[in-house]
Amino acid sequence: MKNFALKLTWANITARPLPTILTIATLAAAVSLISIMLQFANHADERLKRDLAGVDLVVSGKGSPLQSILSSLLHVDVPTGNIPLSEAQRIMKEPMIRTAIPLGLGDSFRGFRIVGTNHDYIDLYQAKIDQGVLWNHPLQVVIGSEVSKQLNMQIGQKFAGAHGLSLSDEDLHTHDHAAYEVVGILERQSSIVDRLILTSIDSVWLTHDENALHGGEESHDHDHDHAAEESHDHDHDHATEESHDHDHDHDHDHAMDLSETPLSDLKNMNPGDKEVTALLIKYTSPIAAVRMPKEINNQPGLQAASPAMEITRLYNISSGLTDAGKLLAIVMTFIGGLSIFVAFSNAAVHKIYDIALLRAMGAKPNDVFMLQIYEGTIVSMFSGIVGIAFAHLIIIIAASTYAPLAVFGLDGNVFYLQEIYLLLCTVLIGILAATWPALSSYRIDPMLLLKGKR
Amino acid sequence: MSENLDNQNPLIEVQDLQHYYATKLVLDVKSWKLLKNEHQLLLGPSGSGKTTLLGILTGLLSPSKGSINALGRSITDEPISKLSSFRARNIGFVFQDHHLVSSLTINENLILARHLADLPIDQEWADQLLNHLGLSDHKNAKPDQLSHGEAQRSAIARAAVTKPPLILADEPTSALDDDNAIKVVELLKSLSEEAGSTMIIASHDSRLKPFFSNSIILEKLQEASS
Repeated sequence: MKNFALKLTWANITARPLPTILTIATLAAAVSLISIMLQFANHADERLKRDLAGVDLVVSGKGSPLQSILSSLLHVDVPTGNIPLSEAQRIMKEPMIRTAIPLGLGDSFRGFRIVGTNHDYIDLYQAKIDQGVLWNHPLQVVIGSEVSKQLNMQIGQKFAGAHGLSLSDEDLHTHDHAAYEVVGILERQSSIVDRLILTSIDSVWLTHDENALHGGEESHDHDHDHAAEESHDHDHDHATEESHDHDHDHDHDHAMDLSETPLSDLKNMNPGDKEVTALLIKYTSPIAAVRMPKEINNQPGLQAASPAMEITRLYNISSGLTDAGKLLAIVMTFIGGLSIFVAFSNAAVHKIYDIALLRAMGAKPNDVFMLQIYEGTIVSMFSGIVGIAFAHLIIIIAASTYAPLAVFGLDGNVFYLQEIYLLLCTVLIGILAATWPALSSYRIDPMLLLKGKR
Repeated sequence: MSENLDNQNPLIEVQDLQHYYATKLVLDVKSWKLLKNEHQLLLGPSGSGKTTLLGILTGLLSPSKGSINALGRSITDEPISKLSSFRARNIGFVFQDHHLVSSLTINENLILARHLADLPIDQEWADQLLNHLGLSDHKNAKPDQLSHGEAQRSAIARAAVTKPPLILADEPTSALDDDNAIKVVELLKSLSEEAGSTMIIASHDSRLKPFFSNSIILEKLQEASS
């Protein structure tokens, strides 16, 4: 019987295509939903870990600590405010600090943020150069793979950054007097770095100080706090990329050659009145976690935010949504299991004479019991596979058509271990749902074939 | 009950068999023997205990009293749950309704019977049977694609495909006209001979009596006797 059982099971499944398809569709829909949630949750978790990059502390201007983390590490919010370079230097020299990476934020190019920093930032994210070299002089930039792909930017291309962090440059003031040049493109690494334009802090200072570039030429009347602004009105309306032979209201002298200008030693240079947006800090020892935040927060104008604490807070804020999603998944799974139960129970009623016949012909009660279990296993396994495959297909399609999903980096090509557990759970649900009809089959008295007609 | 008392090689031997439903006696057979390769008609009106006797002979029902020795085995001494293999290997069924497994083709129904009997597939024998019964063209058809007659012949083929020592046919002619009833009986007899099987046909149809030299007649209810 055993070697024929699978053939008979398959024959039973395919003999009723419509109920079978409906059962599979119901359960597969539940599995799909859960799979999509798992993919989102796992990707968000991994992405967050990568983007936080093991940073212990973010030092920024006073404001919301969560905003500080979001702007400095995840690059999804505006910075809280700048900190004086002199203060930053003092912190950078603290013995309890292993690395302190300065950030200069506030500018963007066509929706991609320009981050002034040093090469430690590349090491922090373990990013690798795919083409070209790292920046070694002011106004040289290295772009992330996604920037290169979406803007079709190549090595040697020049562009002007825009002041502010809007997705479009249209309403932003552009720094046409200081054009950046792409000198390197990073390998894709599925982190925030893919979507950043990295340069030196000097570049950020230069783009916001036209006098520095033009040898004290007529002063500009917009002495803005670049880090904290989103956008502002301005009467410039310049082309923002590549070509530098555009008309310009100010007739700037672009002849100043920075290709031989070394980058500043941020730790030891004369700070003057220069500022940075934030410092990303890693401690030398866990003891620092106790002392450093307190010390920094006691400084006027400085704020220390712990990524771990703030992200936990963010999770807590969004826990209601997560719980609702989990509840929906449980309800869907229950409905899926119920659909198998109903379908199998109905089928068992229709198959009562078939089962009685099998028993009369010599099949043992265990054999007919197992036939139903096999059927439950096959249908639920198929539902699970279809559901998971469908979920990945949806995300693959969505990622290629819906920009925010692409920005999030979820592409549907990664399978998670939890999806194996999901498949096993689906099979278990199928087996459980088939158990009652199987028990009914087990109890069928084959004498009914002799006692009466159909 | 009229009986043939050939004591040589009894395939089935029944002694003092009684069966009650609650307190009502529905079957009472003092003594009965069925010889190997014999064809017997079990004749009786509705309610005479034919179905009960078939159930007991096939190990589907445990008698209230008495003993049955079938194929050298005392089946009344064994629990019903242990008799599945005995049925699969030794008995071919033809039911009043054809009762083929609806999700399988006719050929697969035949293969299933051999699987249940734990016998290797003998496609040559299956094809021979289907050919004999004029079903070669319907080998891969599902039961619901067949006429009633074709389905019944398919059920007869299935009963013979394991070459069982005993074929039991329950009311095989009840819904047939005279011509078709004769055809079915002749078919069952010829096929059981071809398969080397002993056969019992249980029926209330007295038209069948002339086709059997040996028949047992069951009387209704408590009046039943051997």
